[in-house]
Amino acid sequence: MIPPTPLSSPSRFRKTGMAVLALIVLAVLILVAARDMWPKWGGEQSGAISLGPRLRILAYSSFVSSWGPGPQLVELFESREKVRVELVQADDAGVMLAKLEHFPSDLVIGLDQFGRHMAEFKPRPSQGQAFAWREIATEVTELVPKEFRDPRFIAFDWAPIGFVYREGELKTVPRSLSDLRRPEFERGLLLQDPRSSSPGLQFLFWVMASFGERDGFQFLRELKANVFSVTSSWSQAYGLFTRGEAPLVLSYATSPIYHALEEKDDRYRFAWFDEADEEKPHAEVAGTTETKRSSGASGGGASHNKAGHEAFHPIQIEYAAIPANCRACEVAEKFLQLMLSDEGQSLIMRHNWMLPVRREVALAPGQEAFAETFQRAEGLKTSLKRLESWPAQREALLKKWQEADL
Amino acid sequence: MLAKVNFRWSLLPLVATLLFVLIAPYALTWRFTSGGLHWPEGAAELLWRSLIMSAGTATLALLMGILLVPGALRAQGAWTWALILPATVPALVPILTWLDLFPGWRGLSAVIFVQGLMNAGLVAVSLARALETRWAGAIELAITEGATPMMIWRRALIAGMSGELRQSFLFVFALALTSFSIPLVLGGRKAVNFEMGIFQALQLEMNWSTALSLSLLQLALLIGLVWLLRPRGEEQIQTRARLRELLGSRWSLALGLVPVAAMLGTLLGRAGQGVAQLDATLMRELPRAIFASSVVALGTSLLVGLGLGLLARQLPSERERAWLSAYTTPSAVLLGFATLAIGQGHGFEMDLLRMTLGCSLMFAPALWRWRIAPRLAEFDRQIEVARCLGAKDALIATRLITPGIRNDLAWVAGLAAFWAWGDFALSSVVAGRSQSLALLARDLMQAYRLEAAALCIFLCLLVGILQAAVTQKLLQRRD
Repeated sequence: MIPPTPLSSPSRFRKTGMAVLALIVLAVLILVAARDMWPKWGGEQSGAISLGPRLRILAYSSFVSSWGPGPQLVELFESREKVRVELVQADDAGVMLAKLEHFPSDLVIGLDQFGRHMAEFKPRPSQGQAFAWREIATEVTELVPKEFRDPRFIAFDWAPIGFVYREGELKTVPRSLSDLRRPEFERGLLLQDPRSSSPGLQFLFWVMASFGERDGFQFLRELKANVFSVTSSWSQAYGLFTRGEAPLVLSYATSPIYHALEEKDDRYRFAWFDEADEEKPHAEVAGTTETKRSSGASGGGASHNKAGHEAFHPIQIEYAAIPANCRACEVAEKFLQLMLSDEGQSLIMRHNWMLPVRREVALAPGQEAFAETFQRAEGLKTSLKRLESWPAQREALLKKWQEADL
Repeated sequence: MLAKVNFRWSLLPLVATLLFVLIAPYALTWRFTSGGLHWPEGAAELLWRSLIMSAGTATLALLMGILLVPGALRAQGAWTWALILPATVPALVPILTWLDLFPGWRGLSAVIFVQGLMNAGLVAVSLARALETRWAGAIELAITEGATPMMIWRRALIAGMSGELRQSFLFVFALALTSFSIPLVLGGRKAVNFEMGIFQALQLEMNWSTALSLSLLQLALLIGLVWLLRPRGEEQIQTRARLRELLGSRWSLALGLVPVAAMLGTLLGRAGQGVAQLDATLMRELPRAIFASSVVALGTSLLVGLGLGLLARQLPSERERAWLSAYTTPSAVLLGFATLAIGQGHGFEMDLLRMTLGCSLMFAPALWRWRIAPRLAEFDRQIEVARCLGAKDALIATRLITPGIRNDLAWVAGLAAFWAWGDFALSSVVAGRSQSLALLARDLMQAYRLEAAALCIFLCLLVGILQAAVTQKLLQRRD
């Protein structure tokens, strides 16, 4: 039998305690020493105004981040309105709405169409009923173009979704979803998982609306050989694309503008799909009967197939809304006004890399990089009706996506 | 006996506090559920698939880990950290590496391979440490008597260390059960687990009842597994010797370092390009983020080290240790929301406090399961002897347990610090702004600055390892 470990001396134990104590004291000292920097580093602005009401905003992380439009909009608003703004981040719509329970806010920024559907119809986590939202003053809602207008959910930016590529890397540029199945794009597509990514979800609905449910899944099966990766988030897919792992990535029509303006790289292009995909007569996605009726006048990049269906891209729209239990409701409306003003829209456009909802801002002198994309995308607004029924079908379609094991 | 009873009663408030801490995340999540628990439609399939994925991962990690034990015996200091590194880096790093090396390999087998390879080094280090602690003397003697290395591996490692093998299996199984990003990106329909079920319940359906039900089912599964793998009266042998020269192998160490080299290669390539994306905003944000991350990491390491140390000082019995090993906190999102119940509003200091508490609660169960519980088992015989000789439990805790597990506590404190540097799953729920370096990396990724994000992740690893090493050095015994 090997002798047991000898009992340690108390002095050694005291040394351990001293080391732990020293670390705690060090941590406290660092915190105390940094206290002067807290207001500047924490969400509260150093020049915050102590008088007047406090506006509490809950927004998605890329809006709140230092590269997003949030901090500059807040600074502008605080200086003009003499109001203190507290800007808090949340990841996605599910988390954002749950966080609303903990952090009652006067304004929620960044719900897309799917998030908006949850905000309108899903029961609140701790209660049995859905969230209630305030009807917003007409002087605010009237700033939003008719196509996006809603009394409770204010659209503040938008962008078509499709495929981005680099000039010179493709022999031919795809012009329709059907083109993506061509052998030349073998292992060339970067997609996102619709269960965890908003553009990924838009793509799934795009396919279903273009081909119908049965043929849509068949299309996805055929597409499998051409998919390099289905990532969990847009940023992962885009990272692989910028590294040159694959030549086509599912992204926003505004992505090339970032590269052109920030990186001075003009190689990036958005593949506008102007050839319609044949929709099979038996194909139906639940609730898309409206889809088939909605083939109105085409404009911009849209065109029709033999059956009269127009080619289209899904559109991501981002909304802001005021909870019914807001405290600084009028102040929140003023902030919305700022977001929709020329200055606000320009900031959002340049920092969120999305299109402004107001035409005159996108087409203003000096915004040429956005103007071309905006004009092309405008034609797609006619397909907005096709998108209306999508959010309600999300859960059912995602279950089928998972079962299909694509 | 009376002394033991009195001692336990006197520490009742501490035990009650610990119990409260363990139950609190679940209790706080309950507030969000509207109609109690709710089992999703495919719960049985989810359970079955979770079991396959976790068991496959744990088995592969164990097999690879056994192969790497000679390398782990050879490794010292930084090399030991290098072997463990793949198991501790943010999931994005192994995912990118895998996509670089095997772009076409997906599905359940890919998930099992990636997770198995990631954890193999950690299992190897754990087994090597146990081998040195328990069997070194006997192995020295056996080699002197002419035993071949193969005989030693078969008799000492495989047959004599079944307890450690079971612990390692349990540890990796629990990690695989709660992993999220890797199965989501690399898996398909067949590679799903509870964490993905919880995520879907929250993100798609906002159904907290389902999320909590799945969390509890996950906990029940771990309890069941702990019961199945419980120790069966193995003899505890106390010994200390270095087996480096006797059984260590440079080849095995080199093999163990392949995953970390591949990951660092991928990350360095991107981080190098990230230097070009260093703009004024990033330069302004970096010091704040590094400071915040270091505070959270320091706080987490202290809380985990002190918490597990206090728990160990209660001299938990074999059964109590097993129960604690079965404990796991709910998923990062659920735990994040439970942590939001602390204090009101957001602010720099409140965010850091919540991130520290959340990270501590999230990491402590895994570290207990991996390092502290098996180590405490080695003291059972000595505690029994000391009690027979009349030593009070307070004296045993102070003079035997605390110094005996000090190095292990230093290890887990260091590892907790490192993990805290890389966390963004919990922090993104808890923080009002992107306070930490990991959150800053996420912001950069969302703002097209992907190479700068890689640079931040690389910094997370670098500074995280540095802080972990310093924490470990400060806390460990110097003899």
